[in-house]
Amino acid sequence: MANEARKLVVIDRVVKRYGGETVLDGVSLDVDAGQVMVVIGPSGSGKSTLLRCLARLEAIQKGRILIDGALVAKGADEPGPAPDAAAARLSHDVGMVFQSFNLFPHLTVLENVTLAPRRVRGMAAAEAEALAMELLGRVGLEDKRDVHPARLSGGQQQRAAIARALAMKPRIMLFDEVTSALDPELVGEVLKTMRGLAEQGMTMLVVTHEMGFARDVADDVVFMDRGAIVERAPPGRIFSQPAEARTRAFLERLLEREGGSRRSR
Amino acid sequence: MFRLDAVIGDFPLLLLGVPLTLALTLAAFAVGTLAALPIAMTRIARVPGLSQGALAWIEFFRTTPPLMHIVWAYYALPVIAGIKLDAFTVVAGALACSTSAQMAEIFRGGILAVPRGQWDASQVLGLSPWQRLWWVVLPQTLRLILAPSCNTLVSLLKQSSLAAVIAMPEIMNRGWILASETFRPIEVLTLVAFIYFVLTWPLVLLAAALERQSSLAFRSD
Repeated sequence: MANEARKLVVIDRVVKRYGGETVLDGVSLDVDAGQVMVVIGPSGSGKSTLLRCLARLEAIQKGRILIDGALVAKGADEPGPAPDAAAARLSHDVGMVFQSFNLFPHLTVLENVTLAPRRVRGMAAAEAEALAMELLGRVGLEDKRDVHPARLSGGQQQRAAIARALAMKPRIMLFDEVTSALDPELVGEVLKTMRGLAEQGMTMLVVTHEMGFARDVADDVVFMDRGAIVERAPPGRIFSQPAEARTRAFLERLLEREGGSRRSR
Repeated sequence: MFRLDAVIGDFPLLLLGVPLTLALTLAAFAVGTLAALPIAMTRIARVPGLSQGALAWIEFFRTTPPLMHIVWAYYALPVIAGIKLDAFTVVAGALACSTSAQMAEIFRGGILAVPRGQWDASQVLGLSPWQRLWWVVLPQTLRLILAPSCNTLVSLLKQSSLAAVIAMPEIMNRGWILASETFRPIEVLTLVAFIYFVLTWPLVLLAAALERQSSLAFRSD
């Protein structure tokens, strides 16, 4: 327990099933404050589901998830009381950015960012706007404040989505394949924003196929396959000498696919 | 011989029915639409018992004619239950019931058409289920359902002519009376049709315009 207290995120033997299918099969992972953890793995390996469980978007069947020592989710057969859903929702500890942006299309960029601070935190309009403008400045979108998302490029939408998530001052940011839906030339600007966040000490859990980002920014890389964590190591080691055969096979396939056309970023 | 000039002098008499037609239509639409949202939500939320009740309500009013509801409520209700309602309440109420069933299905479709990611994103931001619905999902739903709602309003305006069967002096009822007085039913009904056309045509155009607009606003990027 003393060890758990220092960890910002503790994922403990988590099992997640959809119907009869086991998507997470006893996953344990912990993240220190300020750490950037990149999760890689083939599609269907459970990476996104892991993030969704952390964000309380999915219930888990077994195990526990703690954030900053507070119980976020637990399986039915774990001892102790169930987490208080409303209290957990209001703790604002997790921010999440999605592959499909999920900006609110009927609101302007500014309104997208201020909605939660105003409605959830009860922040005054002027205060929320000042906060939003500071965040939009950080992601380079001050001039787009009154524009609706449909008029933004994919990269701009994703940066607006990052600003929106930051507005609730989360302790940890989850990134779920946030560059996968982007045109190649727009990927860089989003990754740059994420690097900036990492440099400022944000704790991040990043599911991505951008190996360049993983190599440069991650403190640790986690390789997942078939609902389980196969290997966890610093990027320098996992990319040059992976311990597990499955990790090696995955990385080789990935490099083959990217081939000579690999972009440098 | 079709002679419009023989009845055209009585045209103002028909126009006197317009306010009642509009009042019936708007009352039924307002009440029906207000009732539709909770019915749709009950259906989506899958509350045991309640959801089945909502479904039964929707199916009953979608599968039975409003004329039957009007006649039944006006003539049978006083005898069976001792409830005597005035004619306006009967017609507006019966039409509101079938409108609530139709609008509930429109609302349900509109709510389900909002992508799942919108619920997810607003949930992670800390919005409560009601806040998600109110600030994120419903504004998008409303844009999607404006056009079909407009079409519902058009058919409701025409259905308000059913009030004629219990002798409410709206447009259709005045037409019947005038037809029997002048012995010129074809000419009178032509005028009646013209009035309905003038009332509904702008709504039809509006629905078409809204449909174009919403298909533009929700184009995928």
